[in-house]
Amino acid sequence: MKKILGIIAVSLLPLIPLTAGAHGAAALRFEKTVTIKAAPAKVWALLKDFGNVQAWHAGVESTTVEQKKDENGDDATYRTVKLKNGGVMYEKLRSADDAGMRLKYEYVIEKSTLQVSNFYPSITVTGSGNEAVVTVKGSYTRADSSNIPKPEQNDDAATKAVNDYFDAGLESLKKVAESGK
Amino acid sequence: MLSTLHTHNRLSGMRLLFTSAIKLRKQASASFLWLALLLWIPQSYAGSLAYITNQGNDTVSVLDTQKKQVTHTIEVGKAPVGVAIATKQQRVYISNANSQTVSVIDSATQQKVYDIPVHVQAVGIALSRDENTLYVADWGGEQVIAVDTAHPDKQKAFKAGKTPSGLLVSADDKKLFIANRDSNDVTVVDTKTLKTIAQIPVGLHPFALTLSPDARTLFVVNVVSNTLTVLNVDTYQSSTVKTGQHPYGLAISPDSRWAYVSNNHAESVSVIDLGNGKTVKTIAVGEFPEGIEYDKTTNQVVVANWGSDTVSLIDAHTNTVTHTIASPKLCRSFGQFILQAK
Repeated sequence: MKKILGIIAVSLLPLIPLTAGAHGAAALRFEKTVTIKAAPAKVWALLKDFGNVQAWHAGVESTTVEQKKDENGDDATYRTVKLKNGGVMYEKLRSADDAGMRLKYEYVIEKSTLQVSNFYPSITVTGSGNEAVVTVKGSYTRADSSNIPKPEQNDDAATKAVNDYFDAGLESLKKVAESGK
Repeated sequence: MLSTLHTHNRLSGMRLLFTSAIKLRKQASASFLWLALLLWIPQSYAGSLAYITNQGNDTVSVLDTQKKQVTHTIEVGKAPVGVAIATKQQRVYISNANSQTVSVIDSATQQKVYDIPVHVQAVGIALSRDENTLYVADWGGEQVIAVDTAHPDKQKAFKAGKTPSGLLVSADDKKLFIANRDSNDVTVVDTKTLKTIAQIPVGLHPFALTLSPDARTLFVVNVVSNTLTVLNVDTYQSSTVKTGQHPYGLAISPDSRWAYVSNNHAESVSVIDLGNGKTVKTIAVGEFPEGIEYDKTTNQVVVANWGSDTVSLIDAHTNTVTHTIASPKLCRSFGQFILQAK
């Protein structure tokens, strides 16, 4: 069902007006860190390549990038990330700061399948020499904003979705970056 | 107002006296000088009190803006978010999103006195000027609940837009303004009849509200549009001013010249000249700044940083952060959260 909804959502992309989703009242926060034996610049090069998530995330099948106007009429970059498990993540690039090695983007739930809303990750690379520290942090809320949320759209479900995606992602990022490719 | 101030100061003075007295037993007589000093200066000692809601650990930190210290930590309901100050009642009302309650704090003793069940995800919260009515926005519904503060079980729900957020009552107590986050408008409600009298479109995802010092202008931050709507409270004519990324809160200086806007996704506060709408300075603060208010007593802008578990104190004369104070977890302070010392 989720998969079907995802496909429908994606196929309707140009028709749906862009609005951020309703969400729970109390936003949740996450932070994850991984230390990688590789030059920070090398790790950053992988992460900042907005249209190539599959290069470092083993759970990702493909990424398609598009340019279009955002909800405010400003030019923006979006990507559709197809997961190997059938899930879809539709995301808007917010900033890619080379000097600070920090990427910020936004997850758009209306065109995605993961049950997490108002999801704003930022990925930062620090470190020196042959050691990079990658920190992913951000805020998110559950997908169902009602006072009694559906179990598959509650706080725990949102937290699981975030953990599943980034735990696997950081693990494979480490592998890829350390493999010397 | 004055009696609150006196009570508060007297209590602080007494508490300090008591603590000092215990220490004194073990200390030299020189400490008597310190004690005498404490007895002598309590009137000038206490600053305003900022009530910082810690959504992540179900407490409220009481921050003395002059001492620049958290003096009390009060356990409240689950996931506290909003604050409303009842100066005359000496009460502070805290909305708890997850326990769906409002906690009532005695601002003379800094203790929670009771919880009011409201059965909705309480976020936005505001008082009528006479403090007889507490308005609580239902984040999960399309309604606001009016609570009789003298009889908290007397509650009346009335219609709002989608995901009502910030609330504010006009200076004459006749109108309630509701920022509806998901219907991109502000509802104006007649506080006598609880009926909608106007529905004003603003930017995308209006969230926090505040009034100008003369109470004639309403300011609304539009989270997704990255703007501020400046709205006349009588004619509803409006103009728009640009902010930083994802504005979540704002405060107006007492001279009405400056707006301080917390940019939730830019780790900053914009200082905007309301004369021309231009940002004159962008001040770096903590991560995900949200609640922001101007403390008239110390001329500081107090900012709660949800992402850093800190509170930034900005000196409004120099527009620089002078202190960063830890507050347990996910601090928000949505609404008007400072009990002004005068």
